[in-house]
Amino acid sequence: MSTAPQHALAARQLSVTLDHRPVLQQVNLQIPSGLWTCIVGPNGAGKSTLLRALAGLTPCEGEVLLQGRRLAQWPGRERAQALAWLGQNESGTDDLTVYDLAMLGRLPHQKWLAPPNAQDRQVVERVLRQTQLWDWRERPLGQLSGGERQRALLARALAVEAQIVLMDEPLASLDPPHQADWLAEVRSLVAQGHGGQRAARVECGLASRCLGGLGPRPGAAHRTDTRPCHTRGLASRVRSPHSIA
Amino acid sequence: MKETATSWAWRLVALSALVLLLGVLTGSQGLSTWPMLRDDPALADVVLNLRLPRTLGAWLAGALLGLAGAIAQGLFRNPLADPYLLGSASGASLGVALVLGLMGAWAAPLLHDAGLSGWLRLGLTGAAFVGAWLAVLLTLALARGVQQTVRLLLAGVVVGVVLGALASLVMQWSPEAWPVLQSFMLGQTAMIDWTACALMAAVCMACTLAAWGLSPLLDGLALGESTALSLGLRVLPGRMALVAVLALATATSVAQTGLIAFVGLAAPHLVRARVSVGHARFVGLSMLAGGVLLCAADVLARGLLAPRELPVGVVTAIVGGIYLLRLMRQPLHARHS
Repeated sequence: MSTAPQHALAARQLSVTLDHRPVLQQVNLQIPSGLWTCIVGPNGAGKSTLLRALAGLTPCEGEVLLQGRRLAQWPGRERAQALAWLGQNESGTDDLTVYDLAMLGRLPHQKWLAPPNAQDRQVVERVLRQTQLWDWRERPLGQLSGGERQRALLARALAVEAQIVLMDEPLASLDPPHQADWLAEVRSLVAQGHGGQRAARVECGLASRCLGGLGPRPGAAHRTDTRPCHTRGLASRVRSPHSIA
Repeated sequence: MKETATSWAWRLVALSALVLLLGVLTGSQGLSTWPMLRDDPALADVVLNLRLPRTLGAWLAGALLGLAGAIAQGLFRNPLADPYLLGSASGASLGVALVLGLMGAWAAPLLHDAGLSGWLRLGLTGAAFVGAWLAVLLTLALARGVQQTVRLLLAGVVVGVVLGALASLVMQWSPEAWPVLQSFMLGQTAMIDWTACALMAAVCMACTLAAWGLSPLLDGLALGESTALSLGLRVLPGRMALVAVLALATATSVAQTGLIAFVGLAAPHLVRARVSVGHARFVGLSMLAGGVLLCAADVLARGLLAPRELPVGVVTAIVGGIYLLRLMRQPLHARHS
């Protein structure tokens, strides 16, 4: 990047304790906007916990700053519009149709109990076409394959039109060909941005095999963090493979 | 391709009308016909003051159970959750047993006179509500939240068994209340009068409105707690409100008809097998389906061995058990075709 990136998300002295066990200790990190950032580390290093803490889904010590403002100070709806979350095991939704699922992403923009308006429908159509699911919109999720299902969940997260999308192990349930397709899709989405806005995508636990398979140029992935994240003694690195070709 | 929610809503409304009519016309002497009703004022009185409230009440109790089941399955993200598996029905019956036990000891004539008075009904419903609410909270506390499905169901079973045993103990202590309590345990529609109908209709309306208001939360929860939180939904207060609605619907139904199994489980399942809709419509359709199921079961219970009557709870347990067995044998993918 030629210009200094504005930080979409930042953590200061972030510590998380789960079941009396410290999982994250005093993590400092900055996630630039307009980039696709991956958090890479071994199993159990605390990647998911870090991501959950950044999304405000886990009680933590220290501060998380979303676009420069403390996460706790954001009103619920505004925060939901600014930051979308795609969890690791979003399941139990077999009965929902693809269209209704994507429409759930519009909840932060809708008044309570208000029916979807023209803009909501337009956005949902756009994200379903982007994820090549428009023709499947009437199908319940139970009838989709694992890869299609994951794409539908991505469409739901994208329909929020948030500046920041946090994704926890989005490739975990996919086989290698689907992983490659999916990565290509997300990459093109990052490249397109959303409505011309600079969006940040943070992703966790991307398999190194997968990164290698897609061929990042040596040295292309670089650390943006000035300090390693101490996660149970294991230093996981924050990298931004935005320049993956 | 599944059919639309609207067409199913109309079908269920038509079916409701049919079973209600059948229920009104079915008596201990077989079917009553229009000329019989016109010529026999006593029979007309029976229809107006016994069969009509009883049939309507069966429908309303079924609708309440259907609503409770739909909410339970959405709330706990578990297709096997129903008011009974979470212990709320046992809690409600313990509340009823305690009140009746105390009444039986102190004021036995009240029970044996002209049925149950309006105030007693209200008291029973209140006690059932407190019992149901506490039972669900106890289940949730034992399961430490709703994340672990198996834990939740096991905790529900434990709470159900223990509270059911306590209710039996109360029955042992107050033999005066035995007959009423026994019919509560078996599930009966015979005790439903117009007061009970009015009470259930009022609770039904309140619960429908509440469930409609909370339906976006149920939709969001389908994707998991984290995603619901990330969508800006107020998960914790919403969950408590949903538990309260679930407990109120279950308790009101149990206080009027006793323990009627499987309707709360089967009604949402039947709807889910046919339509894919958001929770606002899902809850509504489950209510209609629950009403039809219980009303039909009531007609069967009264008509099968007429002039003798079966407890309707026995009918739903047998029919529901067979249905659940069929569901178990079905492969997963076929349920969604």
